[in-house]
Amino acid sequence: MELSAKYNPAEVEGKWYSYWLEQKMFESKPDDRKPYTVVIPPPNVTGVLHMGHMLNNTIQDVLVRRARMRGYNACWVPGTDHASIATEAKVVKLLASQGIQKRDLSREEFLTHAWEWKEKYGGIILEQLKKLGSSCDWSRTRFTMEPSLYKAVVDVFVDLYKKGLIYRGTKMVNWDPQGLTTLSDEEVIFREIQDKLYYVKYVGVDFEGTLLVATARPETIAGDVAVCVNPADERYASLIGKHVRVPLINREVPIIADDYIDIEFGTGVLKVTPAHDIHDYEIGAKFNLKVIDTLTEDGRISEAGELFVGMDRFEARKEWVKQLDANGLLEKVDDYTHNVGFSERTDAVVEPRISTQWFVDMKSFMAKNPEVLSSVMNDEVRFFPEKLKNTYRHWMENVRDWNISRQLWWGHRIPAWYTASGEFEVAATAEEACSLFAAKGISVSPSELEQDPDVLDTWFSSWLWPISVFDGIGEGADRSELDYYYPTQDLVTGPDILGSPNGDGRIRV
Amino acid sequence: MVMAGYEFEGKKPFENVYFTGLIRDKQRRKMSKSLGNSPDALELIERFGADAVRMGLLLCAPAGNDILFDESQIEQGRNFCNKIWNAYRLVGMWEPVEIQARPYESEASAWFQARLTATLSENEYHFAQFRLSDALMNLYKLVWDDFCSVYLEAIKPAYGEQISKEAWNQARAFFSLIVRALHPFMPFITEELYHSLHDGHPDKACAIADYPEASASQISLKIDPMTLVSELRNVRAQKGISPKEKLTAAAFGDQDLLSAYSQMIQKMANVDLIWNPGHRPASAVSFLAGTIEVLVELNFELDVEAEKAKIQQEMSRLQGFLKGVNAKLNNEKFVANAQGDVVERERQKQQDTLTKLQNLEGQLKALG
Repeated sequence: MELSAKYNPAEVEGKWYSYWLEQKMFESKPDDRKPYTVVIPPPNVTGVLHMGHMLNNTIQDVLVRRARMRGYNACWVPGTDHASIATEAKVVKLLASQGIQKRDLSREEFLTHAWEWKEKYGGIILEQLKKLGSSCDWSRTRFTMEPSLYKAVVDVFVDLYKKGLIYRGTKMVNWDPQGLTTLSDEEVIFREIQDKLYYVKYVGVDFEGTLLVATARPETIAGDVAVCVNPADERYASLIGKHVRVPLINREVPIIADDYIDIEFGTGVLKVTPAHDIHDYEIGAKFNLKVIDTLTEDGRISEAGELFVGMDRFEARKEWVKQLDANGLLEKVDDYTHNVGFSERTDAVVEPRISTQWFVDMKSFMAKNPEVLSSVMNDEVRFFPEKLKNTYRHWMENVRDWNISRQLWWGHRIPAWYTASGEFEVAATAEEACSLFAAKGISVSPSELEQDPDVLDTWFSSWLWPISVFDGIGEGADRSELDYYYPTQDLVTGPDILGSPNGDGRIRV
Repeated sequence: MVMAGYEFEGKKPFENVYFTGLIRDKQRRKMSKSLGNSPDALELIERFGADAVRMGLLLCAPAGNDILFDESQIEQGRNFCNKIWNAYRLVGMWEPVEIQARPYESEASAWFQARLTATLSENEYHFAQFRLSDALMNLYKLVWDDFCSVYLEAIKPAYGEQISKEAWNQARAFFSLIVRALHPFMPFITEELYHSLHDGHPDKACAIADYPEASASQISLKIDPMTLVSELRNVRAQKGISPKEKLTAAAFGDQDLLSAYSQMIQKMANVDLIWNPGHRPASAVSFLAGTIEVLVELNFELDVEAEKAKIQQEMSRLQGFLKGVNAKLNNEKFVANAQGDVVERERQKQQDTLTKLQNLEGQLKALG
């Protein structure tokens, strides 16, 4: 065969890729050879190929191609995840450019637009992977929202709920006041911000004088339910148990003491605002304090905020400062540099917000499945490089409950069904929910039930990927493929997915 | 996935998790859209070809460490593609004849076989540890240095001569092994060459051909003949002797260590090697290749003082090295805790260094 004088990749690459596909060389069916299975960590359906993907997929391809040549039944399963928040943000933006607002659409109408978007723009990344030479079995391409995988997610939710591993609870979550949804820790991007620290006077009720409190968020003062000092701080020891008045609001609140308070920060006195700070929330819970939520879900002052009701939180901050100053309650203002969390998708400043959401009970989950940690620690699942085992352990030992609900429409809708009076049952369908209600003596028909409007975190579908791509989820599933291909061989992924200690249960391995 | 695996299947979801590094730019900054330091992936493929991009990425991606991306590594990938391409074309241009294989051809084949086997066996270890970067670098060196710079040079027919059919077939057989070993890394160019090797009709495509396995029987090179060749080339360069002028050299030591490659050495270095002659040449420059002392005869007067200074310098370097080895071997903790054959290898180093020193001592005496 004649070769051209110079190697010309463009001539060669398209030719051989088509050849491999025509000859079905990357397709795999169970047979009597040993399987070598790799499932692609599903990229976002909105994604485009970047350097990280190229590296990651080159590595997977090297492993899979070598295995194929060594006589294994190599099976590399491609696909994408539906990227709930990223896709919804893109669709909202596209609609906005056409003069359509999401709030003017019904859920069904919006989802029609979203599917159209997905069919038109989604999955480009898979085409790009072909250019790289990836030897995936494209006949197996999956999508986390396709019907059978959708059903798998619903079944898993119902199953975990029945087992008591999922609960509905009121907790502090990351809230995006612009996107109007909760966010995972990973979707919150911290940036250093030049801010101000305001020193505010809290006048004593049962003692002479004032306490000086340093805060960066004077607009939340209306939500104060206590002030807190460190018990070891001699400056304030005699005041513990006495009371101060919340500035401008005039509510009497106690002076409490907790080790959490940093004596060095500001004046050593912290205002306790359980509705708007995770640490305050914890102190509030410990001292059984009231929660006063002074913000609305879109980041304005709520009725409970008393002053500047309806005003945007950052405008309200300026007004609060003015009023404090006018009333002689502002001692001084310092420059203050600190880290502030922004929403990855909307870039809005994220609010810690108390909200009723669905959670996976991580403590019970881990107690039931100790292998999740032990398998990695004892090399049953081997980590390369090994040093990341410690990161993993740290993560698992400090994990918080996993908030799995999102206030979005694009995703797997939570299979919880509510009666008009607010009782709910978890079931795959409204009909099944009705029989569960009936068993409790509540007689309702499916049309009287309202399904939970929220969808599930994308990872709540992707965590099933190595099982779900072989259709192994749910009762009566045909297990022949799963039994052959599972457990898979290698997962190739970036290190950043282990990056967040004290994380929220999305163990993305 | 681990959580879901145990909860729903009662089994782990995968055997291994390989964490890649994060890709950063040359200044160690994370790649991001806002910094504008993230190259357009598809544009790179268009410019350099997918194989070059894959290779460039892997070469800068040691397992688990951050990756400092530099476009020059992709250029290196492209150059490597061109190197293989040109090597293949070179072999294709030779016109083999039905003659018995020449000794130097057979010796070069045996030499390359040893290098190939060693590389494949090292790579099995690298693959088991997910050290794809190391495995690829190994193959890169095998192709660039061992195959192209040595093996093809060694079997290249002299002007007016032709390669034997046997040697030519062997070269193509090696090519087939190399192309298959490289295929997982560089699938496109290897498929093209593999088809070409089989006149467009291989039994199986490269993508599903057998991966070359490291054979159990390893041929070890006690002394790499190429160290001798490169020393001889150094002598030429230093003394300004033309490559066309045939050298005569006396070799002292165990001839069996190198006898399997004597024709290859003679051809590559254009030298007549005389083993253990009764007398030492009067005017000669000397060096050590492993434990073998070589004296290259010169047809002109040698600068004796300069030669002596050079030998003394080498001796003091070896003495320093020996000190380090002795210190290790005298350290009881090291000897007690060392894994495998580490101690054995240190003893071998000690022995070899002593032999070399002894040789140099002799050379120094001979110079007077």
